[in-house]
Amino acid sequence: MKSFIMTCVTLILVASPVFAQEWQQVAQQVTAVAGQAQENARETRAIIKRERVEISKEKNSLKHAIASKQKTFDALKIQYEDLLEREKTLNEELASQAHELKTIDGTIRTAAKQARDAFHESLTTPEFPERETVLAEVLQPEKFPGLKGIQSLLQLYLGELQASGAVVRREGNFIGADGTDITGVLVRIGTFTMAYRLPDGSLGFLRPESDGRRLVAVQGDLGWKISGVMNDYFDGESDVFPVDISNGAALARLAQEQKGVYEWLSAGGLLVWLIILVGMIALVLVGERFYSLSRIRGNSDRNMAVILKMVNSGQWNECLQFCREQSHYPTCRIIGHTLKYVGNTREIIENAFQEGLLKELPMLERFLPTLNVLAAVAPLLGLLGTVTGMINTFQIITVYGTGDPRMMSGGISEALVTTQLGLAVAVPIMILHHILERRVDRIIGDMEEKGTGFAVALMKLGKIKTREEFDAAA
Amino acid sequence: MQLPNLMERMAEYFQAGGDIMLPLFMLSLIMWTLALVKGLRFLRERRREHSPEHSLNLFQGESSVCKAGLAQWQWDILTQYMEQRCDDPELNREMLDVIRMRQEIKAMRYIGTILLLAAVAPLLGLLGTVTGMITTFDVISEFGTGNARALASGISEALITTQSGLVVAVPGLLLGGFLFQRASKLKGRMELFCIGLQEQTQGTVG
Repeated sequence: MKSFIMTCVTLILVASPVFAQEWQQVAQQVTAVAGQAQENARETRAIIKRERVEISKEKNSLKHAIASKQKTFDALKIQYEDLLEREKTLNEELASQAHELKTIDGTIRTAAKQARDAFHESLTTPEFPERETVLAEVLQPEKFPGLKGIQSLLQLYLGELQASGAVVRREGNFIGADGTDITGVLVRIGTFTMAYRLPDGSLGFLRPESDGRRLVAVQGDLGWKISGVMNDYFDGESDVFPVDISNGAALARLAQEQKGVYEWLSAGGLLVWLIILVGMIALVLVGERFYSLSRIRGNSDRNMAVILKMVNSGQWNECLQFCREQSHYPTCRIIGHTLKYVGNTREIIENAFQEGLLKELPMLERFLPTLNVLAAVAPLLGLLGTVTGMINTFQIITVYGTGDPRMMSGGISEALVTTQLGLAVAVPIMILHHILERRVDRIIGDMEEKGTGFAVALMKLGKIKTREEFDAAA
Repeated sequence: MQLPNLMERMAEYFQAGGDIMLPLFMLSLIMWTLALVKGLRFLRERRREHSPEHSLNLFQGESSVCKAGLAQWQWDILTQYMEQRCDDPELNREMLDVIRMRQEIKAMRYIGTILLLAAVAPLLGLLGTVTGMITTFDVISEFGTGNARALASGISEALITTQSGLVVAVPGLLLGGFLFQRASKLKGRMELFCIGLQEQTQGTVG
């Protein structure tokens, strides 16, 4: 409309100077222009209308598109959430499996470490030197051993199992007692006992060294019995072989037990030697007593029979002679002594006999009181050693405290060894003393009996005067 | 309890006591044997004892009957006395004293041994204690106080030997004392028998 008005104004302005006649023309022109303008407007409207239709159409299609996109979006979102959920569960699974794996790894490593420790203790290791490399591989840190590693570890274990059921005899070398490398015949029984025999015939047991790669001879003497059994086995004559089922503990003990009497004694300090001295003296005295008393006993009955026979037949000189010859028997000595008084009164003869007996008694009972004293002294010395040892122990405690029991054990072993030795010396002395005492008692009883028998024999022969006869003779 | 189980436990106990258990066991064996032999002999002799008159009567008859009917000591005294007897009553008495003394020594035989063995047993037990303690301290010096099991073996050795020593000693002392009493009573009876014998035979020469 604006353009129409503008056109009209323009036409008016243009037409004003134009004359009336020209109005017709102008009007026609204006109408034409207006018609054209209307035409233009109509066209424009149609275009607009068309475009509007197009746009709305487009809008609709776009709306459609949006809706469908939204749909897709929703679907995708659900899917995404699903996936998230799944991821979470999978993560959890992963974590748990990683834990499991770690456990497995730990178990394998522990097993491998145990295997290493066991093989270091085992006697079979020198026969399987490849063990160390397998174990090193499995034990590599920061790396999972893998199935291969597990299998090889298992193989090692199975190999050890098999070896523990086998008896193997082979040539091999080991470290001898003096530290040198020696080659000899080795016999391994299971995984607990191993022994060697050298070409020079010396025998011994073997233990693995601390890292298991070498074998070391066990210190200590085997004794003839075990040696004989082992030699028979090595020579193939017997199927019997001594084993150490304690897995080495007994062999270690064997080496330790034989620490020697001297070491044991020197652990007891000075008093030990004193006790031993007491024991030696007692032993010498007991030996002397047994020797002398065994000479005294014996055939006193036979001698007495001979003497009585001589007395009954009145052979005084022969009897005296016989007593002199047998003078190492105290009974004969006493009777020989008594014979000098034949013909006197009973009292005198009895006194002579008692005198002879009293002379013999010290000979018989010699050293017996000493032995008694020694038997009493030995435990006392042991007790003294106990006290000395305990004093030492407490002195050590004052200086070092009770922290290390090893420090105290010196004093304590002194205390105990002396006590032990004191008792060990005293008990046999006591028993031997008792035996000797009984023997002496029996000999004295025997002598008294023989003496009475002799007196009775004299009496029967009338060789004993009564007091009245004696007085009358005097 | 079943017997094998008991034996096993005893063997275990025995083994836990260490080396001293063997002499201790032997000692107890000897002691009990002596005590049993002695006790049985006392009982048997007591039953066969007779008065001096009766025994003299028996002695006049068959000697084998006499020996079977009398106690061993009565037979011994009787035979020796009747064989050696002489005119002098004083000498006779003295001779009888000597014969009797011999029988008394016989009666006391083994009792001293039993008492001595009973006295020795606790000493052996003590020895075992000391040995066990030495084992214990050996273990301590080697492993420290941590190894309780190794410690226990030494300690059980120490305690078991002491226990066994006392177990052997106490009945031994009681037995010894009992037998000693029996023997002193027997001595009294011997003295009475000898006096009776002398009274019966006074003045007669056999």
